[in-house]
Amino acid sequence: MNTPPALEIHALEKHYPRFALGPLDLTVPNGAIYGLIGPNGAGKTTLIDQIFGMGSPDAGTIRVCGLDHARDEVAVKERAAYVGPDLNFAAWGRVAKAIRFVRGFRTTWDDAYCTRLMQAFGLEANERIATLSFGGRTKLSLLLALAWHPQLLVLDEPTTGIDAHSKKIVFSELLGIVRDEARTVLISSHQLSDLERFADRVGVLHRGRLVAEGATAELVERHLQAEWEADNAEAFASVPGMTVQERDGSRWRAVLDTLTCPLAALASRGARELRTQPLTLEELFLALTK
Amino acid sequence: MKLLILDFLRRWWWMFVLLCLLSFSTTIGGFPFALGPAAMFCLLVDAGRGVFRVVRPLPVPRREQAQTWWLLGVLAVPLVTLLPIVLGSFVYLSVHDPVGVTLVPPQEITSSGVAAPPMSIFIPTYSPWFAAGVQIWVGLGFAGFCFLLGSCLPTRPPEGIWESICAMLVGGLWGLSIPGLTILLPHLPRTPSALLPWHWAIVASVPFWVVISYFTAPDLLRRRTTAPVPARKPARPSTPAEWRGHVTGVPFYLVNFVARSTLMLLFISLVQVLFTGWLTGSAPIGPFAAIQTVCFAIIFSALSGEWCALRTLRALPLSTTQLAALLMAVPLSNGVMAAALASSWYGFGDAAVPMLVNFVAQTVAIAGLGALGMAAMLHFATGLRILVLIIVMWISAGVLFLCAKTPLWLALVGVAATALAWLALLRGLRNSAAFYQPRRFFGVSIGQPTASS
Repeated sequence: MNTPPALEIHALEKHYPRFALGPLDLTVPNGAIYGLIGPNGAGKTTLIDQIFGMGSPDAGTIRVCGLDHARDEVAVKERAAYVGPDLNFAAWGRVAKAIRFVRGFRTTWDDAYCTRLMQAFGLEANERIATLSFGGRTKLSLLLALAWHPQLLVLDEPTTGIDAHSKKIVFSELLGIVRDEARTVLISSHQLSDLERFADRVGVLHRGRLVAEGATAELVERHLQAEWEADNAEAFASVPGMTVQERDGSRWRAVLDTLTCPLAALASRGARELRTQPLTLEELFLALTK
Repeated sequence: MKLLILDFLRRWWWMFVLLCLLSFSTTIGGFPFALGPAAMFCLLVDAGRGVFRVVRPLPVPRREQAQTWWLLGVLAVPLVTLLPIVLGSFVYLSVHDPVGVTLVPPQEITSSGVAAPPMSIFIPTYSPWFAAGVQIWVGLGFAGFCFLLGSCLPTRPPEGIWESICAMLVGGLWGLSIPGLTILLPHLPRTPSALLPWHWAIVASVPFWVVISYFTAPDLLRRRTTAPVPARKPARPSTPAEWRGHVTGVPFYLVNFVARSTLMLLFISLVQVLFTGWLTGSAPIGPFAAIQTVCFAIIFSALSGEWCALRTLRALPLSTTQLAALLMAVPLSNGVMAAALASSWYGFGDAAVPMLVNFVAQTVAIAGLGALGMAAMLHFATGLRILVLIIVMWISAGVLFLCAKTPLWLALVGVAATALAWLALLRGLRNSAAFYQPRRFFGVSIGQPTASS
């Protein structure tokens, strides 16, 4: 049987007076960690909000595990968990009460796993949520999302404010649920080095558009930084797959997507002294979102 | 100091304009009114937003910062409202006999069925300049008292029984401060001959509150700019028994939020009844107290949207309709509680119909208007929602006052408000980004340093 992807977004659009998201197509396959990266205000949180019904799209469709996010909103939320920086559980007073509240909605709640996560994150049932640090509150949100084994885990900036030890635990848990339980994680983060290590696929969102997308290793490999000399500037004015970073007289520096802009294409346009070097995900991100 | 004061006035100008309008209109209506603690309320909203922490590292001495907050919290409102009260008094005197004005006694209001402004029932005679002086003076003292209370408000959840009791006491008194003033002011003397011993006591205590509040200002600054101490951690590890329970999920939400809101309303009404009863002896309390209870219910209902952590609720497996129904539960329970108090205890409503009819009509109206307030406030994520809250409260008080004698109209208004609130909630839950944005002023962490939140 053909299993639908964990998340399938098609032609999604959301317009605000000063910002527009999309049109955007995105597919997150089952059993993968998908990293969504983009500068501040790129539309990452807006995109994630649409999945959980925090605002409705102006156009397009969102399907979670094959279910329409609007028509089957309850079924979608029975399969998908959300962790975000603005989640606030302080209204419930203590950690135990927040757990007690959330576990009532989750039939697959795992008390043993919850206990283990509490120990790993250093949380106590009797602690006041309002006195937890920012990182402590993030850990609580993560615990409440992980402890019922969701099919799709959507994490918006989950590692912001948490220490290196906790970050390690978070990624080890995420890898665990993806490898052992074949579940899916969509993670929006500015921690590019972490995503480069852990994410199977990444998507780069810039000004509401997905400017690059693919398997992390492949995406990084297929992009190169190139430097060359050329007298004919017009030949390089608009080359598909080429993002110019710097131009100093006849000297050019650009990032190339070798899939659409092979090195031979530059040579055929008159590039001399062509030199290339590989990029890290962070360098690629900086080049694409400049 | 000057820059800080100007900055505060620039951000809160609309609040001062509203206060001036209120003071002017009530003064020309025969009742000068200085809502002294209003600026302290604004200061605490600022504290919740982290303004104190932002200002703290600026090159302004700590002592000067504390003095600035004290000047604004205690002196600003009495000083600003002085002008509209003086102007209003001139207007009043130009159309009225300055001495010996006799207003309609309460029994005539009931028999004729014509309702005079509720506050006027306490005013037998009126000497405008004397009354204005007393109101401003007492307003100043009350502002000092509220500044003191605001300084003592807990900045972190209490630990242990004594801290909890103190926090509850200070929080309760703070919650009652503005309504307490609105209960107190109508009972202040209107002429020198009406001065009673307890009036003298209040008037004489004003310098004490003003001076002592000045000395608490540095403490206010310190408490509002220091990160809270983390709670002590228990030695033993947590076990599932600590978070298991029969009441969980939606029932747990209802028990937590509905019970909390209802208990707060009950507590405030009880204090109000005792306080008004003490001031007026066995005399009937009148519609004023009932409308005040209603206003509390509307406020709690409107604020319930701020307290419920909507973003968290939205990610749970509840449909939009279910979530809207869950949100409406708090206004409904507040409506039931406030209507029960207003119709039975205060005898508010149409005396010609059974109490149950008044109760039902008032329940529908208070619940509907409260839900409308909540939906309206959720549509704004900025400070504008304080204005929305004030407008909703004014409209609600007006509607309740005007339609109290006609339960059918009251019920119809309630049904219309409920329907409107329902549609607005559904619309907002689906489409409004403001619904899910962080709410800093009235959130559960109000008053907490923002660095920790």
